Amino acid sequence: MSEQADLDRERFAVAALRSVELRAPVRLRTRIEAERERARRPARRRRFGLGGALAGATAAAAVLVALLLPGGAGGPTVVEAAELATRPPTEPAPEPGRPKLLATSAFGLPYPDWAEKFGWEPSGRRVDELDGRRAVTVFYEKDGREIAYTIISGEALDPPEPSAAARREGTRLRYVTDDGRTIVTWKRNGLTCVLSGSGVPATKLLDLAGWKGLGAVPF
Amino acid sequence: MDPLRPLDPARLGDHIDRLYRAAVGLCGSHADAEDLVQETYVQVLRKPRLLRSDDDLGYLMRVLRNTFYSRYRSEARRPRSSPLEEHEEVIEGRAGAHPADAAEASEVLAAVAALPEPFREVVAAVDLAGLSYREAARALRTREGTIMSRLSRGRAQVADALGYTS
Repeated sequence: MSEQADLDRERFAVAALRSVELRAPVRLRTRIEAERERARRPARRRRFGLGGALAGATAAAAVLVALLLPGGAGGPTVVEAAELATRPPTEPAPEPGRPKLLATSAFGLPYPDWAEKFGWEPSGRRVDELDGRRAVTVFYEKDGREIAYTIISGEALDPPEPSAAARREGTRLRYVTDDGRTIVTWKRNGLTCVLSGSGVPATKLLDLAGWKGLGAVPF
Repeated sequence: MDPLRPLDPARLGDHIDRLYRAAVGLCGSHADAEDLVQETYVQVLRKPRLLRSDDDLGYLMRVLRNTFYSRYRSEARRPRSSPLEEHEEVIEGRAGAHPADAAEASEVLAAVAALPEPFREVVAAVDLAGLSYREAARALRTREGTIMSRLSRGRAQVADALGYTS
């Protein structure tokens, strides 16, 4: 087919496609308006700080925190770092960067892009100060669920004790689960990484945490 | 770098029609498209969102596309027992439009729904939702050159499906 014929065929398609003036049904507009109204109501999600979180925790959570106190490395605990996952992002979702990586990093460590392989899309970012350490968190979403990946500056934090151990792609991981919330921690280049989420099986989080993207994700 | 800007839920309603067209093109079914658009809004409204660019529709398209792939793709791959039904809202708002236009629109949308996925999502984003190449590249996480190439091939297949003869 000649170049002109190709062009004519494409023009025909464009004219047909752009002539479609399909409008959303009224019932869909009604449903979405109801969703917007629901979203306008006060959120029930926790919005308090770490101090408030610890002070107001249930007895069960207090037991968990007692079990997970740091073992001597100083700085925040892994659980405190995981608590950042319950705060909202303060920056937009990072864009994709080099293959298998996002265009954002913390302390020289780029965050993985899990979208293609696992379907987890980046949804936001925030930076906090915890016990004198900087903690950079990237949020990911999939099917309405959210997980948070935090990298903490400085000397590596002690893993929670007691906690289960696992290994993925040669990386040793530790994890605890409490009341549907799973916290995974491991080290990348000597820095502590924490991945946590509610309603996500531990095996999924472990797979994500240990994924190296065939060497694209530096550890 | 563009300043940060919260996504305004009050403005999201402006994009329903364009998202819905794209959703019908992706799903090949009005019922699935309604569910897909609603689920997209539920996800976006679940918490405050910050955007760096003034591209609400592109952001919504990105969420819609991701939701489609995670929830609806397996169903979309199944053979359909009936073609894309005609839809009473197709000609709504078109003064003097002939009922035949509705049938024609259904044929066009069915042709889009039958495209292989890489072409389908690009045609849906650009020709049905009305995104620019740049917006579509951001929404679909690919390069503008890829968008243009896939769009050209997708359009050619749509033309063939509609019986185009030179």
